[in-house]
Amino acid sequence: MSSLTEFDREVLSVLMSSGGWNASARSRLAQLAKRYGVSAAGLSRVAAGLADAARDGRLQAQMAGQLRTDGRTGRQGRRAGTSDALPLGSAPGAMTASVVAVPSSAGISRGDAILLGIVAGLLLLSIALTVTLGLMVWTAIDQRRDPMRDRAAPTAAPDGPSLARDGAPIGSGFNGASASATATPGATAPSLPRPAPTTPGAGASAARPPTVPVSYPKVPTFRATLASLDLDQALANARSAAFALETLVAEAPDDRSTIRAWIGAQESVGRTWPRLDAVTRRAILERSVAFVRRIEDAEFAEACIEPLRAAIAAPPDSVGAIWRGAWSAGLIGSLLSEPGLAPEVVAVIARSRLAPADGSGDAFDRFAAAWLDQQCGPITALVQKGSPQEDFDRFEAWLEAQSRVRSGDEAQGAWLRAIDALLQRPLRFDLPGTAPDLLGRMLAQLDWSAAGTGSGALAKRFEQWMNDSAMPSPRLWALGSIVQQAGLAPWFTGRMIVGERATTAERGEALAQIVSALGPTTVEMDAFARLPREMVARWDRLASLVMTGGESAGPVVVPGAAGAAPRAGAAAPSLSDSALRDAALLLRLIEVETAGAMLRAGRSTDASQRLAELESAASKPLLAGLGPGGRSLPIPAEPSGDGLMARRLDEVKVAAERVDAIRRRRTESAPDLGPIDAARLVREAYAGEPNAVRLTAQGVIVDSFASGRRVAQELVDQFALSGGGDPALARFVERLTGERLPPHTHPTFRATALAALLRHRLRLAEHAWHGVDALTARSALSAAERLDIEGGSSEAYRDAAEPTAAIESLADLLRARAGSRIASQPFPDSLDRLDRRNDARRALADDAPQRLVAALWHAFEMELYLAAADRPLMRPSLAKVLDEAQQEASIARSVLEQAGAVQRARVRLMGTRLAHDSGGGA
Amino acid sequence: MSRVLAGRGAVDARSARRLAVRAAACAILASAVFAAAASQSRDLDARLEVLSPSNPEAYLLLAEEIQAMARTDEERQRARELYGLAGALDPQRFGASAALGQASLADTAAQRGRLVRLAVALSQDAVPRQTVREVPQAAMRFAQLLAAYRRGDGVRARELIARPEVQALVDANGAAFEGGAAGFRNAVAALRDKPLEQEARRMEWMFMEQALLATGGGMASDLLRSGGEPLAACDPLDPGPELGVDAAKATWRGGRWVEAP
Repeated sequence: MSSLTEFDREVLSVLMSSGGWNASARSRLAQLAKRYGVSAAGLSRVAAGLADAARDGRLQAQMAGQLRTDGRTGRQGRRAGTSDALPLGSAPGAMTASVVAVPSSAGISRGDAILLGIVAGLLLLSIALTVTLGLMVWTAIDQRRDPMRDRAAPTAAPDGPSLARDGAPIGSGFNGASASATATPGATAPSLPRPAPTTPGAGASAARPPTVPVSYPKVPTFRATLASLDLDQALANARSAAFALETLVAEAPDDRSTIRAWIGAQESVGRTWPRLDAVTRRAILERSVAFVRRIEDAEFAEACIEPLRAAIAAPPDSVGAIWRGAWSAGLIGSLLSEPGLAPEVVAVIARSRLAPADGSGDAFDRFAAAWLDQQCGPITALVQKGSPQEDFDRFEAWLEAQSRVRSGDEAQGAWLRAIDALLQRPLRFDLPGTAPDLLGRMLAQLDWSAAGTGSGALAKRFEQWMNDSAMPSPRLWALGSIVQQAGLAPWFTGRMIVGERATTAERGEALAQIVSALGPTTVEMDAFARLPREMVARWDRLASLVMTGGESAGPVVVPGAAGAAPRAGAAAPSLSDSALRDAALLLRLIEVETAGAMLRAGRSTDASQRLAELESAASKPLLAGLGPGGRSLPIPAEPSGDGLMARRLDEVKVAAERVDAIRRRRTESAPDLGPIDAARLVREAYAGEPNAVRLTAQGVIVDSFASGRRVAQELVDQFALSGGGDPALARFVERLTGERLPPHTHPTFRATALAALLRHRLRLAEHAWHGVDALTARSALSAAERLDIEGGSSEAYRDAAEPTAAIESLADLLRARAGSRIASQPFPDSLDRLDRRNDARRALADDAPQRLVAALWHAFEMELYLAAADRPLMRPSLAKVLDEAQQEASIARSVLEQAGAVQRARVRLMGTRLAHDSGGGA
Repeated sequence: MSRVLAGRGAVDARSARRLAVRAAACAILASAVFAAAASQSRDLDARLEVLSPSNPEAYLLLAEEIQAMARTDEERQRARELYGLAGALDPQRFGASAALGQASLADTAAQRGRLVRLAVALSQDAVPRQTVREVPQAAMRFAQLLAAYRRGDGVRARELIARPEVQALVDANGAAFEGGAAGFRNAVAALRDKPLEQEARRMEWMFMEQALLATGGGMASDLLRSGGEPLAACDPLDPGPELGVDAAKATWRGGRWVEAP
């Protein structure tokens, strides 16, 4: 009996405490087998051994002995990946043998009846175990067909089938769906969920029973201590470096030894900077920057920056590498924000291609934080690749550095991203080891208080995990178990733990519990959730109105303005009319989207004002007229006395008299001439003889008829049909048009001069094309506002002729933001692929309108990406918006219509986000 | 008389024999040509049939070979398809080459331009480019034509519109004219010293002239130059549609491209 294993004893214990073989015993035995890693066959052999022992009449002694030693059951039994690791399995009937070795002490007279009963019971047990085995095998086969289960299969998990991995029967799983398991939660005493504190949210739904958490021998919240003699020495060196840098600043930075000393100081500080106090760190940074400020030579700058670049590019495989990399990134950020550097030095630093993280803090903090964010993936990828100590040290170093550059919501975001990165790894978090300890360490960093500043981000992240079908339930099971067992969140109950094999619906239920518990805070803390619903509804009505068609957006120009009326007799809209309509719609759509962005940014007052402006668009036209810049041009008065000058010029032959006849026109009050005099005056200006006549005619045109349409028309037509050119003519055209021309002998002179004369003529009349340019410029202003709302610098784009540059800048800004997000299922595609598509579109774009479409697509895709990353639940709605955009853009007949289609999709996307943020969306 | 008749009969018989020989020779020659063509076609079919989607390079090489010896539209079309399939099957390696290959087979300048842009888009180091336009002499002549028309100078207008480079621009900008390019030609043919009175039409033309003569000039000028052509959609990871092929149908069987069996 001395060879009886702990497993054997626990089996007996379970049978005894369950009152023999029943549903409860079956479930608990399965759990026990899973915990010990005993296979189904092993469990069967135990049952067979027990049956033999009972038949031999020795079981009573075992049971009596078991009762005496009941308290000795431990949890350190051998883990049996295969059944032969156990004595019972190593030789079938080993239990029997061990039992046989103990002489029976039972009296036949008292025990006959009991023995018979037990034998009968054990026979039944054998049959039941056989049935259970059958169920286990069936479940194992079924699980291999389950893709989510397949994805959950860990790379670090033990090989070979085991109950823990494959064989848990439907009725005995840890999942809350198991009636038998939940009916006797006390069966596995160490993994009992503690009584859940009641919260309003959690208490509201009691339909879902609490999930039995993962049974860890010790709650995995291990925290490594980064302390060593080396570290102490490095800290001392760093403090010395602070003094050394003070001396270096005073020295000439063009000396190689000085630069080497500067690099050495950075190396020393980099190894331990998170341990330095803020004042020392600040002083070191300032001195380091001051040194570089004095460098004027690119070569010396390169010598300084290259080691920093190398530290940034080094893999984060040690504490030193992580801290040096973050320090180098932060220092480069500080240098980039330093205004006093020489341009050559700036060019060298800019080659580092670093981008700051969003948020508060100085340049050092934001660049270091961005670099640390990027290391999340590589650091988590190294887990379980080396020793556990190395894993713990790397995470501690990362945490400590992040804690120095981030706090509050930003820190909460960083911890959540790190947890997400960890959960994405194929690690076993539901078995004791490094992985759950690291997860627990990160979870312990989070602010779990329902009234905490980070509860909004917490709820969002839980939403993302629960809705991510690629996130295996066992990982969430482990996560919930750690949160609950470590007591991180008082409100986190057993019902919020996702079961090991939770279905989508069950994950949804757990999420609802969590969101419910965090609910009031989420609404309070989420800036978007403060959106007043009536404002969103107002925006929605306006957006619908604009999107239904250009006419709903109001007239383009003041009714009745010259040139505003549609062309009489025009059978079909001309290219200019179509373009005008499309440009007007595009402007309205950009304005509506900008108003929506104001709403989302919490700028309610601005948004309200903008909405009011847009709502009154029906009575307020977009443009005053179709003149250049959208202005209205006066209708020219018809000049009188046409032909008088021409006749006079025909009559007089003396040059002085002809000059005089032309000069008299200077006194004309009308800005234009009749057709006969206009043609004659222009002819004299181009080809009049002698020279004095020509120059006088040119002067009169510039001084008195520069705004005359007929004169301008004659200038165009006669120039086109005449030949030649001379310096005087070139000067005349330059004075009239205000445009610089090439020398009259240049091959392009005539084409350039004619184009200038055409532009001069076109400026004097209203036309739809002027409206297109004016509306496009207005779009640029609105797009710049949109960029401004997102935190971009919009000054350079406000007066631009086109919105393209502002939209490209917005897209780049969003792209940088997207780069810092860790999306488990990127939508609409991975960033790499989206970048390639964007590059392709930009390469295909041949002119300004096509570049506008490319920029709009880029911005739209980045907005989709961020929306999906922030709100995975929105993904179906986003997919619909994308689908509609692709369809509409593909059937667009013109490039401006295509731009409108993409911008319409951006408005739809804004609507979806507003509805979601205000609590009205799915 | 009978000799004469006999002689005539002999002459007729000789002529008939000569004709028969010639006809036979022609028939043999035609058969040989036909057989050669058929044999070439069979050879091409055989070479197409051995192509496998697992080896996109072979499509590209065969396309180049066929293009070099292509005499018929069908052969040129086959070369286009092969280029397209090579690009669609391995966009990363052959996308740009395929688009350039198709560009060299393009029928129109517009098509060629689109394919060259596509090649840039598909190349790995695609960078946005700023188009540098040259103002062609044709644009100046086109402006002269419109100026002549505006002034009612029929003789000058007819002289200008007869130039091929001007005709090409009239065709390209047909939408600006009432009745299209053909309508404008008719109007020029009938022009008899009557200036164009419609201010709106004059303005429309002058915007167009200005856009053709100058570079840049803003959104309106670009729209006028391109006619508002939409941005071509191109997924650099799946350029099949833009190259005019379906990458799933890259196996040649029974004289057409089908899905791999």
